[in-house]
Amino acid sequence: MTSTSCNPERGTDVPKVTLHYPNGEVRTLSVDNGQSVMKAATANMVPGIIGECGGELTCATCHVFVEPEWLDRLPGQEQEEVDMLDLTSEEPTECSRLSCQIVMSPDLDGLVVRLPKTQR
Amino acid sequence: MTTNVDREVALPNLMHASAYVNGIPHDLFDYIRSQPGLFWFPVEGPITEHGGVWILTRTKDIREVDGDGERFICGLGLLHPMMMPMEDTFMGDNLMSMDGARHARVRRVIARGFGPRMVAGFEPWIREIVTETLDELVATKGPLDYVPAVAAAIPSRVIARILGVPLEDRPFIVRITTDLFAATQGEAGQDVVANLTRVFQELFDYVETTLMPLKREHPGQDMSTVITQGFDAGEVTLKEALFLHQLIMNAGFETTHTTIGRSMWLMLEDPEIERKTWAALDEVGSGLVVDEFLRYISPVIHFVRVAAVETEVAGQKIRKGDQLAMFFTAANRDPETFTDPHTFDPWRNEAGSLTFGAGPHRCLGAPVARLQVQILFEEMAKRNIRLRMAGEPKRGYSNFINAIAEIPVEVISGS
Ligand code: HEM
Ligand code: FES
Repeated sequence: MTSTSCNPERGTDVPKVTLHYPNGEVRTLSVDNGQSVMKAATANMVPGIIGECGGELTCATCHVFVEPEWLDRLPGQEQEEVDMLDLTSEEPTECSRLSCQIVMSPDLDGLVVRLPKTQR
Repeated sequence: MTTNVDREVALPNLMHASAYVNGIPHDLFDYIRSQPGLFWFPVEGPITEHGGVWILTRTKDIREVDGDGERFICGLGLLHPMMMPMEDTFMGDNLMSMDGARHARVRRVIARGFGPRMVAGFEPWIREIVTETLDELVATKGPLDYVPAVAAAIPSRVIARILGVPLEDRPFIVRITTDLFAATQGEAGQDVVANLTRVFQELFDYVETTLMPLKREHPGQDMSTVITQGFDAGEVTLKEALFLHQLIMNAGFETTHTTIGRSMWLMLEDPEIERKTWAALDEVGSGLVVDEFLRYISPVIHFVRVAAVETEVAGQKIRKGDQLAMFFTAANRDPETFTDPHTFDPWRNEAGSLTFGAGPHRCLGAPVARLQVQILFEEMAKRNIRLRMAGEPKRGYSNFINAIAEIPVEVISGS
């Protein structure tokens, strides 16, 4: 990974997450360190992540599929998140996470996730 | 601060059932929405801390309030007249009046039973219930009341099945559901709390001594089993478990009953709505049709939140302890969200309805509710069932449910 601050294309220290949509569209989202991917997505009105419950782990409308090479680097999963993955609109896979639980840190800069077709 | 002094007509008390006896006053909500900021509605007596309530009518404002469980809480009451610390009442163990971490813990226990994929598996048996109900309907000669025959029959059967109540106890559950709703609608002077407590006790005795032991012995694919296991695993207390049973019955019954009843009423009263409904069912399917009925009807009129801190909404300063009434029914006619909002248009494909609320308390039953009504419309279309009005329909009496009491109809075709 390139160091964020040295990369002229970024021009900022804010880490980026790449979102791949089911229709092939790709978007880049800036997520502050300490902020969840869900919060950044909803604050920026990015489609595909609803985050209905505001991150309380009671809605499962912030489902994403994390690219396999990033899975191990993510913060661990609590039992509540595992339980709530049963409720996602689209069938979860081994790569499924709830994006309200993916809290940004410098080593997650460049994270790649795919969005499900539906969230509810 | 008082923004409604210039209005000439006297406003009905929007927090009271009497404001809704003739329908939803959408013209009044349109007026309120057109005023800048938030609208202050004075309420006499000790129900409010500051002598009134903020009336919220815009999608944006309600999403902000409903979506923020930290600034705006449920624990100080959800509806007039029961505005008080819920913890001091028997409602303290009800999911809807919980906040924060406790709410999340209890909600997760039942959330397991309500996911969209889980609910998709309900489809075959819901279709069976709908088919049976329609068989009974078309077999009836002469006038009948659509409310008990269809509008109440379907959701009460569905809820009994979701809970896993044995067949022989289902009439009891249906009666309790109706009594519970009636008890929330006490006239001024009536002791709402005492009425509710009495019905709750009857229900809780049944759940604790009959239903939960049954589920321990014979666990099933049903909510009572899920709740009983949650209790046995120490995730919820006994009181919380009992209240979850009550909540599923209450929340799932009157709302769906209203949707089914009012949609038929609208169709029989307005040929244009009926024509659009059958045409759209054919062209775009039951999903959009039902979503439009849900928006247009808005079965839940409003809920209240109380500000936990001093804050601001829509540029209006809100004091700690202020009440904010979130009128979902008005937001669903917000022209910023819906083009031509007062027109019933089942082809519209506009997101943003607040029929099921938003935020941490958003309705858990939305997929089940939608599915029941969708299947009903699909089956009616398939069987070419047509009705006509056979008398004067009657509204119910409620300050938070767009309630329907009676719809006299006659079957004119269908198999
Ligand atoms: C057309 C039918 C229905 C409508 C319009 C409706 C509407 C609502 C609304 C507006 C809320 C409050 C949301 C908020 O505060 O933001 C709610 C909460 C709730 N609903 Fe529904 N509902 C319906 C059917 C059902 C059904 C069928 C069930 C269950 C079988 C159900 C279970 C619940 C529960 C458990 C809650 C409380 C959630 C919480 O406090 O965390 N609802 N509903
Ligand atoms: S935002 Fe609700 S579970 Fe993630």
